[in-house]
Amino acid sequence: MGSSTLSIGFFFAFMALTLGITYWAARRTRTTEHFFAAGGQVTPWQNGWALAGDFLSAAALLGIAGIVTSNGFDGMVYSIGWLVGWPIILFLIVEPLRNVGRFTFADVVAYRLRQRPVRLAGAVGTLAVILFYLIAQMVATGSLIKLLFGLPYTWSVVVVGSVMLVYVLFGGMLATTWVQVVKAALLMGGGILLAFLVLTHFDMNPLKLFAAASEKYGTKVLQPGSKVVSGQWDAISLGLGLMFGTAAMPHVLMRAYTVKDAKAARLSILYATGLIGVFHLMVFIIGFGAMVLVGADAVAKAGGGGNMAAPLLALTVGGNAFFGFICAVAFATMLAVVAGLTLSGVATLCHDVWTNVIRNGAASEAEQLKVARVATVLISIFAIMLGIAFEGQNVAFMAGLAFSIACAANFPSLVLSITWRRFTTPAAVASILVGTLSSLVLIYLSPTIQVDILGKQLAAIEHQWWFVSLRNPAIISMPLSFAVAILLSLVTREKNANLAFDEMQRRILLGPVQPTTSEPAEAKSAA
Amino acid sequence: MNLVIPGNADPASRGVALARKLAKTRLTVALVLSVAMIVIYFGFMALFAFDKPLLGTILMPGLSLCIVLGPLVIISSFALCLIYVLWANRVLDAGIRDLR
Repeated sequence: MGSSTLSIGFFFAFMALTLGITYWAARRTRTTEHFFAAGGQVTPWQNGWALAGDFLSAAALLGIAGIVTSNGFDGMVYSIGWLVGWPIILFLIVEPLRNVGRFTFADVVAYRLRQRPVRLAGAVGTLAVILFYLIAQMVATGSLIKLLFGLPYTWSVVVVGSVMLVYVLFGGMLATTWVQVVKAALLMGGGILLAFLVLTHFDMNPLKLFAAASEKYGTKVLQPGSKVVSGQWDAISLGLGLMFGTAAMPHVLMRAYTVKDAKAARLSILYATGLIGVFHLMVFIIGFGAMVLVGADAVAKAGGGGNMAAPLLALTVGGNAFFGFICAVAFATMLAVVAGLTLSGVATLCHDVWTNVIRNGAASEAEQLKVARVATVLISIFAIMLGIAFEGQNVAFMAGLAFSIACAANFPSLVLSITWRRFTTPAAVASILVGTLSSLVLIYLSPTIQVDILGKQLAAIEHQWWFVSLRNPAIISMPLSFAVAILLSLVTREKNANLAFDEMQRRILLGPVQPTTSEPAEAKSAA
Repeated sequence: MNLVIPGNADPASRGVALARKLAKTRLTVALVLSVAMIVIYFGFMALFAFDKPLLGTILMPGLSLCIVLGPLVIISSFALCLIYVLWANRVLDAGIRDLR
């Protein structure tokens, strides 16, 4: 296939460029500050693009375009949900995170509280999010590459896992940032060009495109349906998970530390929100374009559960070269997202678990870097093995589960630690663990696992006492996590946490007064 | 970076009071904007969940109410971010400079 050769050409160009960047970055990565936060040297614009690159997975282009092509408007429900979390990050989270923390979100939660229990619980929440999101990404990546390039599944997973390992291991955050920037630029460029080419068929008027779609498939494609999101409260629950899960995704939050101050962090979230918003509007056009110009049946026939909508549309409106380009962009997208996820997992393992729990804050720079590199290798091998183990499994629910856990486990403790004086260590630990566990248990008892994965009949289990009809657990697990946190805070007293609150509020505004002082010591001296 | 303002009668407590006031203002603005975003988004999702016929109203050929409101939610997310950033760059940053 000629187009396949072309896309492999594009792909190798991307690899050559990003590996070159990694080589350049490797020589500049000497401390943990470089490895985890690119030395705080990233500019707001670069970080805005990198945030968009980190967050826009292949699902954002291929997945949503496919849903729009087969279901019309409903695909946009996901686009909107993935965007509305960003203002929440900006208003409530990013400035405290930048000024109080160093590498992870647990830095902020643990700031006034007892370090070890909070960081351990934070690591459980973070690693659960990353594990499920990584599995979902690896499995999707393996099957997509097989579909796009014809490379066998196992090899696809091994190639992606190994390249991601090289980026993170040698280049740390600096290389990962630039990989994200390049990928985001390609993704935005490809998306805008594709949407533009679609609109040239409709006098540059999206309404003519939508009208053509409704003429061909009926007005139902312009109206909300119930195939993509079924159930009324399930839709609300999905919305909660998407909004507050996005606001607590570890790999997104970690980017707050790569810029020089809170103002730069604030600006980078604004830019990222604009970029992601524009991209989602493009994808909506692309989805409808594929519906009209390629045809929903042709897309369904191409396999991959609708994922071929955007590439096939590129083939129709731009020919073989554009098809190859879009396939290569999709590949680059997957690589970049898994690299960002891996790096945030490494930060949690090294900075939270090793340095602050096992070594009690007393680990040398050289030791921390060594641990970080070992953790990178371990997570990469783990990701490759899990990716291979889950071949052909229905893991689509795992991405949703990752957002639910982020929303129920990480978000409540993060917000309460920033805003509430009375918040205590037992409350933080319990809230994170309850949020994680309740999300897991609820999804296990829901039709997502019981019917879709275990193959039970819905009629046989829907009257069981344990059955949970919601496919998205956030509407139960997030309030539960908040309730546990508030109740436990009210019945426990923590004098140091209470006293350090004013100091923390001042630091949220001013940043670290003396950046060299270690955090636990500072918290104690304030108390 | 130093909080102590030389020549002031009780510099430390003045700094603390100023910081507390500014922190409170910031939190109020942040909460108001967050609530605005939550109301906009869950207002839209409530229509999506509980009143699909209304959201599916066809306004003209090629345009339904949800295709107007969906992009509006996206645009309002960015608009709210812009409002916060403009406020923070002007008011919050000035307050922080005074604190220092």
